[in-house]
Amino acid sequence: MNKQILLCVETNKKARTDYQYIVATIKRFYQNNRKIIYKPIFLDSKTKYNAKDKIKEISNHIKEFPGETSVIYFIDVDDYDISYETKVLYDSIKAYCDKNEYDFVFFTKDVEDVYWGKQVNNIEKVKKVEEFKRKQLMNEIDESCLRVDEHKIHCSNILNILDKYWGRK
Amino acid sequence: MDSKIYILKLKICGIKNIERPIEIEFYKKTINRDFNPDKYKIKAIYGENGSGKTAIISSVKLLQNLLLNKSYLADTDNQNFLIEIVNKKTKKGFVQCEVYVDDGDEKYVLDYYIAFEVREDNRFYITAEKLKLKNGNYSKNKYSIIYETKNGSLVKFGDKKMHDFFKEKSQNLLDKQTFFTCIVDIKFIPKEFMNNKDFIMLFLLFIFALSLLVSIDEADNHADYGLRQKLQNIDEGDIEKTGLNLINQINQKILSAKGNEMLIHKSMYNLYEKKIFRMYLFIQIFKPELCAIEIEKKDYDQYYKCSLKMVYEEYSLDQEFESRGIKKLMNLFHYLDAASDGSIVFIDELDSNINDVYLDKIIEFFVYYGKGQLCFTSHNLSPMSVLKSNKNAINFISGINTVHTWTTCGNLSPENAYKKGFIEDSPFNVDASDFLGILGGSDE
Repeated sequence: MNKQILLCVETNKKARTDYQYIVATIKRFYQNNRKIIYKPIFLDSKTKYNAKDKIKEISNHIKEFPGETSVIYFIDVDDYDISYETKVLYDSIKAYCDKNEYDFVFFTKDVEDVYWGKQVNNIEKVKKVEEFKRKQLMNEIDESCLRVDEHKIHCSNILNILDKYWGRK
Repeated sequence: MDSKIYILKLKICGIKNIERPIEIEFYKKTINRDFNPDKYKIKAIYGENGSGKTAIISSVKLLQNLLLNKSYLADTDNQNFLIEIVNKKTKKGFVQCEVYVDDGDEKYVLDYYIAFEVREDNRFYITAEKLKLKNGNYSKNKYSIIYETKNGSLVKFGDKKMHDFFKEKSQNLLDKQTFFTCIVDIKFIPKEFMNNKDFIMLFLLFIFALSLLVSIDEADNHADYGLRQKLQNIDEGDIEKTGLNLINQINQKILSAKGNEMLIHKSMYNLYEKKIFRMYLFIQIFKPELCAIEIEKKDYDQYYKCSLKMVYEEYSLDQEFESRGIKKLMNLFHYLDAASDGSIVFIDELDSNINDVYLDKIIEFFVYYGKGQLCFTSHNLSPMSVLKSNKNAINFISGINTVHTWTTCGNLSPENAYKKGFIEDSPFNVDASDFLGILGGSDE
């Protein structure tokens, strides 16, 4: 039976920026696995990590799928070190994921910072991800930046988590 | 169910991208005395592009060609075509099918296996054949061998006397043609052999092959492949020698490409006329403006060369210039007609160029009123809603050569399950953004 993986991302359905970086990562580093189906859950904002409608959306996907489902949250670290509010929110999301046995992927400081090496203005984000895909910049990413355990600038633990599900190329 | 022959199982390997054996079941595992395939007479095969749907249909066509045409492997164009459709990695494969035959008094389950390979001389050979008869109705019942060939030689058929007789007659032939096509050519066969049960079983296999009708989509027909290959391989020095021959072949192809030009034996013309009238009634359902389909016939020895004209109120036109959809329906008419009348019909891409609503109605007709067996490939999910009430009717083939049969799963419909990637090994992990950087080039 297939396995379903729900990729919960911060952006909305229209922008879908972080989802595209994640899919590009899966395709760049992992073998195609026909037993796995993955789909996005657009949280619209990280503050909606436990919003009723999002919980319902996840639960509906799980109920509908005839096999096993795993959930991964992809969250930007942002100014965790300097903002108390950011730290509280981030820690709550992490605790929420631990409690529900969801996997947790962080991007320091955010997804653009990891894949471009710099932060990008909000209005530029959609254009930038398109450029990233068009220029196939995923091929130039330093793998070690995607395989850290602790928060480190321009880095993520994404490969550590995805390794659990997919076989490496 | 009027049909006396029914395909129960099909197993194939080594055709196109089918590297590992795949099996398709058409009926339940146990066949009891009240064999009733009414709920099992239709099967649709779905799968992503390149998953092997056409390979399944092609394997049935290959089986039929090998069983009915003794010169099939002697023809260079067929050889060129076959070495291309045999899996490039395995270079060998097989087709196996289990068939139920009801000849009135007796009911039989036959199992036929034919193996092949492309050898170093780049030619397609038959490596083995085996026809078995099942002793009983249960899945675990054993089979007894009717005949067997291996490496071009007859290994078993009937008693020793019969075996020796046919072995001599088929010497050095059985890697180039099937055993049945060998023996139909034998001028004198002793009566005692012809009354032998094994001999009768062999004829039932032949009848099965005759009851098959296979339609391969135009794009996969590869009719002009041999011609193109020949053109590519001509040396300058050969041009004079081969030029005339090629021109003739191309001319013939252009003529046959007209499609509607058919040679009909004069003794069959009445039947043909009736069939074309029924075809007109069939097409008129989809195109009420059609007033008639006229046959234009020209004398050609014992035959008539017939072409069709579509007649509308104010004009008429050659079939060639009909819309693609109507032409497809006209072509399908022959197959659907046969499937409704007891034949076993395989159609590749039944849905191409056909409106969803019409497609559903055609399928619905077959489900309610069909008397034969219909197996088709399709990308159109619309017929699934009709098919799901039939057993074993929806199969999915994946890109890694696995076949899954749809079984009810809560409130999930097969079309939703398929679209959402819930069918095993067919996850459809494709995102619109995957095409960025590919379509329209990159910015670099």
